[in-house]
Amino acid sequence: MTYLAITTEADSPFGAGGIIVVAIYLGLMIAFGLAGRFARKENSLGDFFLGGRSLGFFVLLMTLYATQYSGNTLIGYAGKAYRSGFEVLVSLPFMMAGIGFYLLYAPKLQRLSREGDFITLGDYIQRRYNHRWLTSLIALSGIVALGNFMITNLKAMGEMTAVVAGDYLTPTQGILILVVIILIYETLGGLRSVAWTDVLQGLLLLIGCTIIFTATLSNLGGVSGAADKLHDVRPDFWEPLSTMSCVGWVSSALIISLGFSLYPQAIQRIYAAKSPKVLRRSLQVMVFMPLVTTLLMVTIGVLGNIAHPGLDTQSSGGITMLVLGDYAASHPAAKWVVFVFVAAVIAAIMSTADSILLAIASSATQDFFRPLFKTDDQKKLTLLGKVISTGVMIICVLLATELPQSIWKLIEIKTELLAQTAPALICGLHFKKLRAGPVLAGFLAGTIFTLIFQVGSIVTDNAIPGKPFHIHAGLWGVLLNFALVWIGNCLAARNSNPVKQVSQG
Amino acid sequence: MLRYLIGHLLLITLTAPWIFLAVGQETMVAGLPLWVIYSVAASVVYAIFVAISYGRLWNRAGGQEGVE
Repeated sequence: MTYLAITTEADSPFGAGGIIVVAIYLGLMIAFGLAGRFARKENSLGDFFLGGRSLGFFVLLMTLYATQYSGNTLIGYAGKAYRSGFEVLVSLPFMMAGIGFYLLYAPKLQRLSREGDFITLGDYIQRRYNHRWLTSLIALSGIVALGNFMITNLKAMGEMTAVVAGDYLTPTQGILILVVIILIYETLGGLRSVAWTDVLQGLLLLIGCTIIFTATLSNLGGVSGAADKLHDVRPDFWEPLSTMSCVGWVSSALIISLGFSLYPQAIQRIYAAKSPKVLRRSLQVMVFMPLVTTLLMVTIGVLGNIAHPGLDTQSSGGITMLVLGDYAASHPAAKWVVFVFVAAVIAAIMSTADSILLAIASSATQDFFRPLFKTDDQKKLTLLGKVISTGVMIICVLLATELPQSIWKLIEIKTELLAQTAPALICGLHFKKLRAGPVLAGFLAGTIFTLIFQVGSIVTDNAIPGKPFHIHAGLWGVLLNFALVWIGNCLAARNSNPVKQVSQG
Repeated sequence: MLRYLIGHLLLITLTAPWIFLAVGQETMVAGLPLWVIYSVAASVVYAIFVAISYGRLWNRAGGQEGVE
């Protein structure tokens, strides 16, 4: 239990009213699952994993939004902002730049996905390079990275259980209840159900962020009043960043946004869009969403220092709930604000977890089991996908209840691993003569380099730096990756020319 | 697309408050340090750049044949 200090009381600190609100919300999730099942057009992988490639503007926007913003946005960023101050505003450019990176590949990838009936990123990689090892390694890297992300979201589910149910449920019981609900609506309707639940979850997230931000500022006397009070307790937040902090800022913005843009679940949504126009318009709106989500939560975290100074790392993780508790205490009639916000946090966690689960299941089915079993039977493959979803969830629940890791550290590893896919995808789309060999070499070198420094940093307690020269190991890995792709391609092109001349002669 | 990539990387780099390294901490707007206002404003500029680029470059990016 890291961030919910106010909730460790006996009984339910959330009260019967709050439990009812959450129960209604969870019931709606199952109803959406059933609706998705009835809307199914055919029993195929494309229908199950991509919602029949028919997501319209609003549903696509909300599912992109709810998937990109996890519980970490509402809880983790605020806690980090409480401790580190305004430098956490780097989360604004990195959330926006993820959308910026899409323009380098999404338009072309979506067109190709229609032509080639792609379900996963692995489908594109296999068709482009025709190299099973490269496809499998990229798919495996995505599954491992998403597995990390899933575990952090399951842990967050457990922690939210303490808020809602107090001593009535243990965190493990809370995880199991939420996981079963996700499995129900996901196996019923696949991406269609997930996207529909994301609409509700995205709206709750948006409303929750706006409510807590408005409530906090009104409690503190507006922007100027809050700034003055904050300056009194944390004048250090006003100091400009150092050169090294600015270098770290740019490094974070680049590597995290690149990783975000390559989320397998986000790529699934590119494939699932109804048309290129729908996808373009959704992404044009998405780029502004950090201003009404991340910015608000960072502000909440920073302002938390006024009423709750001196919290340690563990306790500061719960600053969002502490601030909300302050508001509820001073405005007893507005207790519903707390209910809506907690429901929003649960929504954010569930919407990310269900999308990750679907992405892992689709990749395992399409990139590993389909070539292994050499079958195109859509019914069998869809059933296999559902079985894999359940199996993956069971493994992740076991890991989530056993593995201690900080959310932030895992997220860094996740994005840095995912970013290594960028040269294979982006260069593959824009350079026709690029071959599999250099791409495989670059991918392996970048991934191994990143893992050595990231895992080494954790194991040796930073004796091996996770950020050599204040730049993320993953970003160095991406640069190495791109360099090897470029050099290998130049060498291959040079070696192939004499052969061509001989054959022509 | 190369020009977009350069603009994208440049604007991300400029969201970091580099220009305040030498300015000091005294300047405030609405009680907040100016470098904070700058970083938020630079992020907004970046978002506008991306949104406009989507409108202008989407078709070209979607239909662009490979270049060597």
